Amino acid sequence: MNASPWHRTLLRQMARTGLIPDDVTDERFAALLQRVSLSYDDADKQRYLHDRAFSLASQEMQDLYDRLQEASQSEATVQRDRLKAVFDTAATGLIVLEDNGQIFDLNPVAEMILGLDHDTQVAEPIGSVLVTADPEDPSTVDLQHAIATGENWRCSDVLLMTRTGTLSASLLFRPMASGGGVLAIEDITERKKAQAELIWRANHDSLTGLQNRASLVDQINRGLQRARRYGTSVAVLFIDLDRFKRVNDTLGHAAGDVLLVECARRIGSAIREVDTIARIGGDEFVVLCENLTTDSAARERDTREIATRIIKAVDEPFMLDGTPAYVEASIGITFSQGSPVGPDTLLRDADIALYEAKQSGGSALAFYDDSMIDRMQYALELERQLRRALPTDELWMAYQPILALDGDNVIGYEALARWNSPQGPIGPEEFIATAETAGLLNDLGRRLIRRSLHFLKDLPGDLRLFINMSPSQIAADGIIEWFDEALEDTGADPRRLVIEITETAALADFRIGQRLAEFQSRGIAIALDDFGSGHSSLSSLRTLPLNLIKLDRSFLNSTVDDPRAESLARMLCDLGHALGISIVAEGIEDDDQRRFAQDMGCQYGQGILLGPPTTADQALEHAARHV
Amino acid sequence: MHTSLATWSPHEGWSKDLRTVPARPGSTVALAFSDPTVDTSEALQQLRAQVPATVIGCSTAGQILGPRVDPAPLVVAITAFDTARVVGACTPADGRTAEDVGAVVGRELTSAAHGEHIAGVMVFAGGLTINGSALVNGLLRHLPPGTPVSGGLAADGPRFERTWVHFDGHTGEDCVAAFAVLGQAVSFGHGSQGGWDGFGPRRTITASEGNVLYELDGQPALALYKQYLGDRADELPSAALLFPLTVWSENASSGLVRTVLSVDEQTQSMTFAGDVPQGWSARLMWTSLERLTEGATEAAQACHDDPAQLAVAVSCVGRRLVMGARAEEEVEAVLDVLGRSAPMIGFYSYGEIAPKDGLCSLHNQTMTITTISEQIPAP
Repeated sequence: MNASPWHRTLLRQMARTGLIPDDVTDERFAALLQRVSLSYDDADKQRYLHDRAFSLASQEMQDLYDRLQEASQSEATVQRDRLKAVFDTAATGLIVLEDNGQIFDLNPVAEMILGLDHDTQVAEPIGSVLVTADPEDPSTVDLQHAIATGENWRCSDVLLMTRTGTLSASLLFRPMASGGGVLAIEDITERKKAQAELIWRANHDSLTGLQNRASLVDQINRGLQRARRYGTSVAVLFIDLDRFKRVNDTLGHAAGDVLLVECARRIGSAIREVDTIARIGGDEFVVLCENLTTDSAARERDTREIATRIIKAVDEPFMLDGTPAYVEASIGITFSQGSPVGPDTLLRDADIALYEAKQSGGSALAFYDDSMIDRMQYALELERQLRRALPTDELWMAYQPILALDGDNVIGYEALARWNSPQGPIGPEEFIATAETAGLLNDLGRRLIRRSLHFLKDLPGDLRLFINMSPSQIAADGIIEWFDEALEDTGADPRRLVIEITETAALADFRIGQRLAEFQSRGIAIALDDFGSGHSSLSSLRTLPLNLIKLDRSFLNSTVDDPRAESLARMLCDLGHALGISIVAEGIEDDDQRRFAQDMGCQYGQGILLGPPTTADQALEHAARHV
Repeated sequence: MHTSLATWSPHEGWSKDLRTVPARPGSTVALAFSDPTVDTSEALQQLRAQVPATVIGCSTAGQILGPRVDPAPLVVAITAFDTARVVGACTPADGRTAEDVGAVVGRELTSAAHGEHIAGVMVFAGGLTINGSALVNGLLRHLPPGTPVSGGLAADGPRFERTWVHFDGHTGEDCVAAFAVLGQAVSFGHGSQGGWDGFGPRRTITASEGNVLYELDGQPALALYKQYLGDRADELPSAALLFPLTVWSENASSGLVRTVLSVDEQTQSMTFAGDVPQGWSARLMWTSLERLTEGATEAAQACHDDPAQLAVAVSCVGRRLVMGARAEEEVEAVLDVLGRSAPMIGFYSYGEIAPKDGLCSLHNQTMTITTISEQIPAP
C-alpha cells in the first residue's frame, strides 16, 4: 500500500529498523503505522501551538511585568518625590535615624534648629548632635534606649545646647518597622517665651508693669500665709488719685498714661523693699505692706509713715510735656486682724477707708474701722434715695432775697436746693456732696436750674436770680448749649441771671474762666461765692470775669470781736471796690452785722435778718410786694 | 431497562436487526447521532419505522459508541425502560430567543409529564445559532425545580457550517429537541470535566454583546487569537477551539469555559457558545492529551451511578481537535471508570450541557457524562 506521506519521525524509525514503506503490505500493519503517523502529526501540531503560545504568553507576561515595573518605579519615584517634598518643607525638624542611632538624613528645619550642616552630620551618631544643656538631663539616654528598643518616645521640653546657643525643644521619636525611626524636633523657645509673656500679661498691668488685681490677690494670700507663719501683720493701702480725670481730660490720655507710669514709680520708691505695689484700676493703686508688727499702735505708725511718703511723692508736680500737672493721693488703709481674713475683705475694707479719706479732701489717709461701714452704708443709702428722689418734688428750690443795704430794696433772690426726704429734711451740703460723689450732680443741678429759670420768668421787674454752680458743672461738656436751650424753653432773661461759683482750687482750671466768659457774653453775671472762706486767691479776682463778690458769712460772725478779721474784711471790700466789683455780705442775722456790712462798703446783703429762704410762691409774693 | 447499541453505514447498513431490539411504545428512547457529511436520513426513517421509540439526536463532530470514536456515520442506542415513561418535545426557534425556545420545550415536557416525577431531561439543539446558556435558563424556568438537564449542541465536524437536530422524523437546523424520563425508579447521574488550564495574562472583556466578543483589553479579540494560532489561523474558526476562553465575573470563585462557534473578519469579532459579558475577566486556556484524558476520567467518576445502564458521553469538538487520532483514549478512560460493559453512546459537540455544582448550565471544552439507570421493580 501507499504509505506516504507518513510522518518523518516514523519514517526515520522504520529506516532504523530496516523497514521501508514499500515493505508494508499487511493492511492491518499499515493501518497501525498510519495511526502512529497521525499521532506524530497531532503531536507536532500540538507542540507548535504550545511552543508558540508559551512564547507569546511569556512575552505578554514579560511586557506586562515591564509595564508594571515601569509604573511601579514611576509610582515609587512620585512617592519618593512627594515624601522628599514633605520632608524638606516640614515646619518641624525631622531626623531619620538608623537602628544604631546614626543620622541617615535630616531636613532643613532640623539643620537650622540644631545649627548643623547636612553633609557633615549624615552618619554621625545622634548623641553627638543632640546635647542637653544640663549634663544630668537623661533625655538623650532615653532617646538612645527608644531607638535601640524600637519604642515610641516623647520629651515635651528639653533645653539643648547647639552651636549657636541654647534652645528649648520638644522631641518626639517614632520607630519604623524596618528599623531606626524618625526624630521630630520642634524649637519651642519662642513658644515658651510667648507663654511666659502671656503669664506675665495675665498678672501685670501692661501700662505700668505693676502687678494687676489677680496677681495682687495671690500676693495678699501669700502675704497672709507668711504673716500667720511668722506672727506678723500685713497692711493693704488702697490709693486713689484725686483730679487724675482732669489731667486726662485736659492733657489727653497719653499724658495721663505718662503720669500713671511716673506715679507708679514714685509710689514704688516710697514703699519698703518687702512691700508690693499693684495697679488695679484706672487711677487706683494698692500697696501690700508685709512684715508689720501685730502691735496696733506700732504698725499704724509704721504704715502711716509709708502712706505719708506716698502722699508726698504724689503731691509733687508731674511735668507732662513741660506742663506741670497736679494730682493728690487719697489712701485707705486696713490691717490683717487676728481673725482670718482674705484678700477680698482686706481690699474692701481699704476701699471703705479710702472713701473716708477722700471725704476729707485730697492728700489724706484714713485707717479702716468698723464704723466706716455704717457711714458707708448710710452714704450708699443716701445715694439710693437721691436717685429715687431726682424726678420727684422731694427736691425743690427755696429762694432767699438779696437786698440793697442802703434802702431795703430787693435786688433779687438766691435759689437754694432743698430736699424733703421721707426721713426728714436733708441739708444741701450733705446731698450735694452725695450727688457729686455719685456722679449725679449734673443731672440734679440741671433739673433744679431749669425750675429756677421758670421762677425767674415769673419774677417781676428787673429782679435777679442767683443760682449756684460747682466748677464741675461749669466745666461739663455741653453746658453752654444746655443753658441756651433752657433759657429759650423757659423764656427767662439771661441778663437777670447771676451764676454763683464757690471759690475753690478748681477755679484755677483755665477752662472755668473761658466758660464764665461765655456765660457773661450772654448777659449772665458771675458772682464769686463764699469769698474769703478757704481757698481765697487774689489771683481769682484778676483772672476770673467777675461781676459780684459774696463775702463769706464767717467775716460777719468773727469781725465784731476780732480786729484782724475786720481789717481783712475791709481790705477785701476795698479790693473789690478798687476792681469795680460789687460786694454782697452773706449771713446778716442782726442789725449790728447789717451796720457793719454797710460800714465796710458792702452794697448788698443777704441773711435771716433781711429775709429767710421761702418757697417759690412765697418768694413771688414777697417780690410783688417789694417791686 | 435494556439498552441496545447499533450502527449504520452506507455500505454496511445496520449492524443489527432493529426489529429484534427490545422496545416498548411510550417507554423507549432511541438516541441517534450522525456524521453531518453522510446522508443518514433514510437510516433514521428506518429506525423510526422499526422501533417504537422516541427517536432523538443530532449532527456531530464525531460519533461515540462504546470505546470507539467514529465507528460509523450513524450510531444508535435504543433504551427501553421497564416502568418509566419517555416523553419528548421539539420546537424550531423561528426567530425567538434561545431562552424563549427553551421555555417552550420545558413547558411542553412538564405538560406531557402530567405531574409524574421527571427523573431527568436530555436536550439537543442546533449548534451554530442557539445560545446554549440562554437555552438552559429557559428550560429550567418551566421544569420542576431540581430537574437535572443534560445534553449538547449539535456539531458540524470542524467546519461550523451546518448543524441539525432530528426528532421523530423531523429535522431542523434551528431546533431544540428534548426528552424526559418519567418515574421514581429511574436515576440520572452526571459528570463534567475539562482538563484545560488557563495560561498567559488575565484579560478584561472590554467590548462584547451577549455571546459575541469584540475586544479583550481594548484590542480586537480575533487578532489576539490569530497571533496565538500563527500558521493555524487559516483553520479558524475551528482552530480557535484549541485555545478556549475561560471567563469569570469579579466575585466568582471559578470561571466558565467558552468555545468559539464562529468568527467575523469584518467586525473582528468571535461568537462563543455562551455569554461573554463585558467587564468580566478572561484568560486563554490550553491543554494536553494527558490532561484531557484525566478530565474525562474525573467526569466519569463524578457520575456516582453504578452500574450505568446507559451512558451518554458528550465531548467538545475542541477536545477532538487536540486529541486528533488519539481521541478514543478519553472515551476509553470513561469506560475504564464506568465499566467496559457499560452501554455508552455519545458525540463530539459544539457545547455540553450538564448540572455541575448544583447548577445546570452550558459547558465548553468538557467531557460530559450522563448515566441513566432504572431500579428493577419489586415483584
